[in-house]
Amino acid sequence: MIRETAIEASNLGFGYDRESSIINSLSFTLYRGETVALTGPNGVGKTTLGKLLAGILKPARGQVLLFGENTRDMPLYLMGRKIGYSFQNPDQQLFASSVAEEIGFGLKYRGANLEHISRVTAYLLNLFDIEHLKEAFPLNLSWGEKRRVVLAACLAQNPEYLILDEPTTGLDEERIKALTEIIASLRRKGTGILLISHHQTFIEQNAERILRMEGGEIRDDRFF
Amino acid sequence: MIASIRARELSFRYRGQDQWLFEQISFELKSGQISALTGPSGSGKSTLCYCLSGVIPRFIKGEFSGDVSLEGRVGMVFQDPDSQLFLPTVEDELAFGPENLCLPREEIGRRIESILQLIGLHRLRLANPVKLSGGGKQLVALGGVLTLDPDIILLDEPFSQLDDAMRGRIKTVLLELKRQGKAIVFVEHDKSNLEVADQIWLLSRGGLNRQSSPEVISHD
Repeated sequence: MIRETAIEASNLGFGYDRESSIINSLSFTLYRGETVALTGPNGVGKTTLGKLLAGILKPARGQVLLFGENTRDMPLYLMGRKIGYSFQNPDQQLFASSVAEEIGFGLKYRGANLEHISRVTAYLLNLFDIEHLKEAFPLNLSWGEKRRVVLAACLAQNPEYLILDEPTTGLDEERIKALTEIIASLRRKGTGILLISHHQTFIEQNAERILRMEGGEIRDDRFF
Repeated sequence: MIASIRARELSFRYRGQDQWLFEQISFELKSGQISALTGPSGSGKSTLCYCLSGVIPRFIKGEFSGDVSLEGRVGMVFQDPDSQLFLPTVEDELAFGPENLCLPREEIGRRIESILQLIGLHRLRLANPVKLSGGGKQLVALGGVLTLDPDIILLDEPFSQLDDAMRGRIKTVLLELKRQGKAIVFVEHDKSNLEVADQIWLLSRGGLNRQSSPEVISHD
């Protein structure tokens, strides 16, 4: 089976300052329709790598091609159309005055019509079991509720690739199970997904491939 | 064993909420015991911790009734470590609590040293907490509370961003704190982390119930 390349990292290197390097010369390819888990000890650079792949950070060395385009040359809005990113801390991406507005925001600023926005929003409110919170102020929610709002807002834009940084924190078992089902249906649709997670059971249930980082390098790239 | 935390007929709802988040809940937690608090997301676990630590009703407004009595000093590690880290180095974070207790310099130094060893943060002593990974921040937030040497320790999902090795280490730390006679409450979703708990409480649909074992927990 020929799989379509989603993200291609070549000789990727990065450090937050000149003296130190967190990511050393990484090369790998991520495909559409594939769910990959990125694991490794605390502080090894998993979140940094996720941000590099999404184009939030630009590489110090090497390059990231996002659906064939170099992230260094892409404006943020264009990357946002291709890739959905859920931060480890949901507070970093919540800003709207209501949950419904938060979910519909991306579509609204891409020029979608109101009927479409409200249909998508209603579907996602139901999918993530947050219908009762649609008028609530997102920053007043619990961590687990914020997490579900952020995931819904990511999915609203129908991204071709999704990077989820610790998506299970704050979620109870039932909600993790529901997220597993959502991930499976996205995979069937051809969406590529990178899960940054320490949650072993969740990884085993969702990922078909594991990238293990250690010392700024990929130590293991394994398919189930 | 003496009761460290005694909550009587505790009810709370946030401003603008029609229903009580929890209503008339009463319980006692003893020193030298680890209690896990579990329940569906949004059921009020973090809010209950705010009530036990005094954040509610002092800083978060809403309708609060009932009372909480505590034997000793309380320390709380919040679910979001970013909400309690604000100093330029890890060492400063760990020093902040004891400095504000006006402890002697030597004692502050001794506590910082021993907590850095205990939770394995020596390497990051002079790092800026804001630039650490999620798991690193969680450890610094925990360290900042432990240097206060509280009698009652509230931890909101303390393992959520930790790798397996660190999770194991922090469980050992909790068992050691229990041995020292601290009362520990931790909020947790992951059953595999409940093994260190002496008792498990389920907060669901506004009520709090003690569970016999992790296996019987059901959120329905």
